[in-house]
Amino acid sequence: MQPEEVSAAVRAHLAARAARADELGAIADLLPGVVRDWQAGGLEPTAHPATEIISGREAQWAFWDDLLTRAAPRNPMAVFPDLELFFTLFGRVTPERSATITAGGTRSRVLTRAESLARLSPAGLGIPGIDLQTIAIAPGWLLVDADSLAVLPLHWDDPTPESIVVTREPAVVAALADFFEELWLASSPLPGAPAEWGPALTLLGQGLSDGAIAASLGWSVRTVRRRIAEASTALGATSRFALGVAWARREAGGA
Amino acid sequence: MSDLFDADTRATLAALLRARPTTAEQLQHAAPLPVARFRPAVERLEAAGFIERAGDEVRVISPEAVLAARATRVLDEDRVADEELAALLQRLPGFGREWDHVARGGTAPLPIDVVHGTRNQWELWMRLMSEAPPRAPLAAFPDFGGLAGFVLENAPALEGAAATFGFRIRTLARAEELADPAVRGQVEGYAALGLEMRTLPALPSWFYVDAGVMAAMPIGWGEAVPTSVVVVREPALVAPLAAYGERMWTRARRLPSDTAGWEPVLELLAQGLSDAAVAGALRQSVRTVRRRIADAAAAYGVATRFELGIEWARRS
Repeated sequence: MQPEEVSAAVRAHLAARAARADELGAIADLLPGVVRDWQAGGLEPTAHPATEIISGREAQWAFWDDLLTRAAPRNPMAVFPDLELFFTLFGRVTPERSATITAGGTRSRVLTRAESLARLSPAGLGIPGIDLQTIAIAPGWLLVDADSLAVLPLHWDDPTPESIVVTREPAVVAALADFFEELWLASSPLPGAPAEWGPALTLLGQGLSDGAIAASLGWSVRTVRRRIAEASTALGATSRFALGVAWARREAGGA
Repeated sequence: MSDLFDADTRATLAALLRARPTTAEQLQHAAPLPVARFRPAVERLEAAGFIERAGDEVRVISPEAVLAARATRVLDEDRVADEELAALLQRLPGFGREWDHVARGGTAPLPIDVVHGTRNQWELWMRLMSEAPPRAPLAAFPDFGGLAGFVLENAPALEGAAATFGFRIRTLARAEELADPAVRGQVEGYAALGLEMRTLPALPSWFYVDAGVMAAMPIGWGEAVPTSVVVVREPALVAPLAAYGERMWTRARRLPSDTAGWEPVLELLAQGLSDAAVAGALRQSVRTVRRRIADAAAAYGVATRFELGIEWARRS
């Protein structure tokens, strides 16, 4: 190695060190302020900074407005046993907010009970950026943005709650997100939007081979296998036997 | 960049490196400066390690070796300083948590607690029992083999508590674990304790829920054996978490019976087990398992496993 190269390397190293020193200096400047902020935050009367209770209509609207105008949700999912509350909330979504929510191609998933669809016109259900599916038994209402927060009624079976609970406790948010996934797995697409794998499974249930299914549906064998694989994922099955069991149970449950 | 030496010292060093004197007399002859300025320069160079003097003997040291040693020392100091700084910074979040804990100690009971270590988790659970007796506890063990041993070791305490408070623990495990011979022994020990057990093809995480009482989950959701546990007693959070657990319990399947025939085989097959895993779980040969499946298919009049799945699900 040439002395000039060594010299250049040392100079680069020193420049990097100087940058680190500057960064540390900046950190040192910032530190007293943020520690004071943190201390002030802990003095709030709410018992835990990760969980808060919001009471009263006005405060709730303020919370929703704040949530809807902030950064785009990452992976929003919600259960609304009754769609009324959902549409009330959705009615507050202005075009600008809608752009925030769907920024980056984010799709929101919403689950509701099939009965709550009866009161709506089918045209009212096609909302851009929202995948709506139905479930036989919806527990309480629940809104989760994975990795961020979960919103719940203060009383789990209260359809239009006076108070809501917002938790940012990561373990609880992750558990509730998995709860939603479990419910989503058991849900059905809206009438008129049947699953693409339905016809393939029907014929598979009649004993047809993949090739025969392809021939009768005018699909390629690859498409048939892809649809069956999609069905296995959607129904959480890892073998053809398990897929048959899961499909039969779901058909029985949905009827 | 600051200079290591002043001009006189540098000039002296250059002269000595070139002359490389070996005696005091040669050193004086090599002086590029008047004695008054030369002597302090030599002393500084000696202190820096460039020259060694013993009586009349003088030795000029290779400057590379001297500078390398000096750079090493500087870098070493730097590293130590960095480590000290890192240790200092690491204390900050701890400072925050400690403060937070103290601040909350004065307010209402904490709705969320964090407990570290299996032994502490167990002790907390035992303590909480006296405050809020369990009602219908449900525990999910994605690693049943890893946790059942601990439960079985503490069986007397658990049996005592269950008798005092009148509850029965329900446990969820992964179906695949039934194929493990070691787990089968633990399952029998579990059954002997009167603990109810069901299986599912997959479990998302370790967790414990008891509707109306409490919920507990790993601080990092998804851990099969929790290192640190978040304990939730806020009813608004316990209710949906318990609903989640109950939903899984409803979907979960009882352990397959010991009866011969295809029923237990198909039960495990439906939970995603392979033929070999079913054979292991039921202590049968793979050939027997396949014969049972063929018997069932013949009885139901179906040709494929998919059809068999549909027929079996419809009839059971």
